[in-house]
Amino acid sequence: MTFRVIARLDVKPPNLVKGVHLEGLRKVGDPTDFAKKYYMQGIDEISYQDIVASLYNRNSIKELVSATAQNVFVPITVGGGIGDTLSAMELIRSGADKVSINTAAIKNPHILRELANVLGSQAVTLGIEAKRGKGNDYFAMMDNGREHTNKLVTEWLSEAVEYGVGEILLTSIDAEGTNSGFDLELLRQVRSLTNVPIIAHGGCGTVNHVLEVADIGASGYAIAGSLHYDRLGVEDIKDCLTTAGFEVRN
Amino acid sequence: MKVALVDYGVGNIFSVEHALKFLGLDYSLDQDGSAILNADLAIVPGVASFGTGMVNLQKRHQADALREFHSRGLPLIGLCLGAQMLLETSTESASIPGLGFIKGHVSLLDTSLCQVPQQGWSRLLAKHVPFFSEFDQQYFYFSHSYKMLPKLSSSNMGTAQYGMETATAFFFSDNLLGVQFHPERSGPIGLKFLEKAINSASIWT
Repeated sequence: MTFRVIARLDVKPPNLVKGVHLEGLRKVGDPTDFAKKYYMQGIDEISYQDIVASLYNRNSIKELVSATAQNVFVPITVGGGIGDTLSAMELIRSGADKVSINTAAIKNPHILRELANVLGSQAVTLGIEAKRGKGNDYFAMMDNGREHTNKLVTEWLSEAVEYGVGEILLTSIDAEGTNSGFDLELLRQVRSLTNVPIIAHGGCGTVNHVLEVADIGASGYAIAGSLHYDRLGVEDIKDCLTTAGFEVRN
Repeated sequence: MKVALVDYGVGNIFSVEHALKFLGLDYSLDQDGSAILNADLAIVPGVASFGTGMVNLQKRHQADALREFHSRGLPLIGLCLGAQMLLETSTESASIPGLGFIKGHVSLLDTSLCQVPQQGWSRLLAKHVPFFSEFDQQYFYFSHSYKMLPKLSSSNMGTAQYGMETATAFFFSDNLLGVQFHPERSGPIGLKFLEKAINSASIWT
């Protein structure tokens, strides 16, 4: 498998937005235009997160996924507000390839098994929003980083993978929007606990940050601001990965 | 050529539809077996578990329609789960048999040899495979925990290598083409593969 360069699009439908530490959101543009642009540039995957869906308990992202999947022929992962198997199936039918679940899984971990039974575990991504506590402890957050839980990421992860998740989308809230690189200690802890593919998300500001997560064994890096604001290009990132000895899709 | 796209209620039907639209290919969506029986070529897509997929195909009378279609020797393309269901059995759903159009089993990838599931882009190894050798060394999108073990000669199969584990990437035999990866999600080269699979069905069958 190649290392995946993934475009992360936080959306507040119909807009693409971007914040810092998942807060202070700014409108960036039309997400379908950005997704199409990244597809033409050779992006390996699109990762959509409906950042208000959990909050208002709605699921308006379906139309956006369909509008995107019509002319973007790479996998699309969708998260935000997915609370049951029906809404997950609807998203897959609307053009998503994988669904990412965080809040609903923390409230009821059995949903992960139900989803895996229906969709197959390869289509079920566990979203983890990690916030650093004291020392090297990380806590899992809910509702796009708005709600605290008392669950340690390591404990939650060990429990969740038993239910059959096919991928982990690991957000470092501390790194998100900072352009200062991923929280590598967090990635090491999660990597050591599971053999399931891990996608890092948060903090990518330079190609070096991509190499760092690849070195630790992440399967991909989901990049938002640095792509949206043209600080990094898909091709440049892939060139650097190739030079450093990582296999990428060309 | 009349193409039937089999919609069995679960799976990524939208993505496959739009790949066909992009390629300018007409198709009928089948929801109860009737479009299958009127078609010259059928496509069974899939993102679901093996058991869910088979139960739905049966409920909607599509399993029977596919059996009839297969007995006519018409080209039948399975994508991902749609390909796995062409085989006899799967460890994913031990109590629910597949369509059994081709001899062989579907089993879990070896967790001691590779990451499970396999998610992402892998190189297709198909140099030796007639009709599809042009896709050798190209990257396609795979997303699966189970691998197909059809009882066929290696010249009828393309493979993907995951560390020490080898998985069937696609197979063809008589009127059947089973594709483990997702050509509809594999960028321009994937669309090209799908186009070739459909347009040259008269050649590979």
